[in-house]
Amino acid sequence: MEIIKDTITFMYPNKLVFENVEIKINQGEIYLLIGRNGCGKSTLLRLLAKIEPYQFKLHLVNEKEISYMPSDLVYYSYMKIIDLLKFYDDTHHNFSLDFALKYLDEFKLNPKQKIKKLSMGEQKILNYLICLSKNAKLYLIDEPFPYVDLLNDEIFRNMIINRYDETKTFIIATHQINEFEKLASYCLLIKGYKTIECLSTDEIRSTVSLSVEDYFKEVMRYVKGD
Amino acid sequence: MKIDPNKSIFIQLADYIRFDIYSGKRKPNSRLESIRDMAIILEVNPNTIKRVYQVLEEEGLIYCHSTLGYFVCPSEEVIQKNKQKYISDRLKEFLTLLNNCNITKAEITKIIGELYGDN
Repeated sequence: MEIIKDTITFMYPNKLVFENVEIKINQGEIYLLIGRNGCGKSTLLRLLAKIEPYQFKLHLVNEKEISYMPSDLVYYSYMKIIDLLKFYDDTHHNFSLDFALKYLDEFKLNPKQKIKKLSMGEQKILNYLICLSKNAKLYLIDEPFPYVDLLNDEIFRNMIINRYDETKTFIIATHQINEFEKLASYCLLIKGYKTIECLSTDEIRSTVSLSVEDYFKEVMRYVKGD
Repeated sequence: MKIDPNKSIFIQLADYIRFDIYSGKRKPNSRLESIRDMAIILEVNPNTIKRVYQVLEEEGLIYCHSTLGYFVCPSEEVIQKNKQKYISDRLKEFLTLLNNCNITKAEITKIIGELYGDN
């Protein structure tokens, strides 16, 4: 079942991002959103998260059931991690403090640590943790991987599978394709401002015998930028 | 299990479980990991595991208990039949390949003998 089926046109004051681009998102799938730098990955997520003034028609998903992780989120630096999590627990009805604390422990982060003392990677982890701790229907995750070490990547994937059920949909924008391609059922490939291709990851592997990452390199090398 | 990122994960997983059953590593009537647990262990999409289980169930190699999850087929006979069919299907593909290369039966017997370490 589709949660989104729409044709979008969107521009910033002096840059056209999408022109009559068709986009279709099915419920219960994990999507990998990929494309070159500046092609509109983050913009697409912002549109879906309704941060930009654009009205996507969402089916089966209530606006409050979207959990969005921006690529650069900044929290009040004087707060402790535990205070931040409690703040979310108080203000978001679908936030699970137990889930957050369980994984905080797996990431080996100290709840009493102040946010300004966290490293870049630890801040990424905290953003991700908060995003996944919400029990939502649509997760929009913008570049979770930079600065994060290999073992924590594993926990990232583990969290998604733990959260996953057939009513939940994940869209993950990333350049680290190989980290997520085993998990993703589809990839959304932004080819230019006029096309977003939606491909089954297993179909790519079985028809051209390439991993999604290698396929992406092959395809994008010959696409002209606009 | 090591997953090759350049090949269909669905086929790799189906074969992985199939071989475990054929080789006796997974015993008849033993319980399979739940879809979620298997997804976490192998770090793959739960939908893929679900599809694999469904296909193996259609083949009669595993069965689904309404509340307890998936189990390996209880009948050794069914497993052996399934195994023979799988092997003969693979060999048929292989024979086509040999025919395309125009290799005679005598030649291939010799090669197989060598590979098995016969004189």
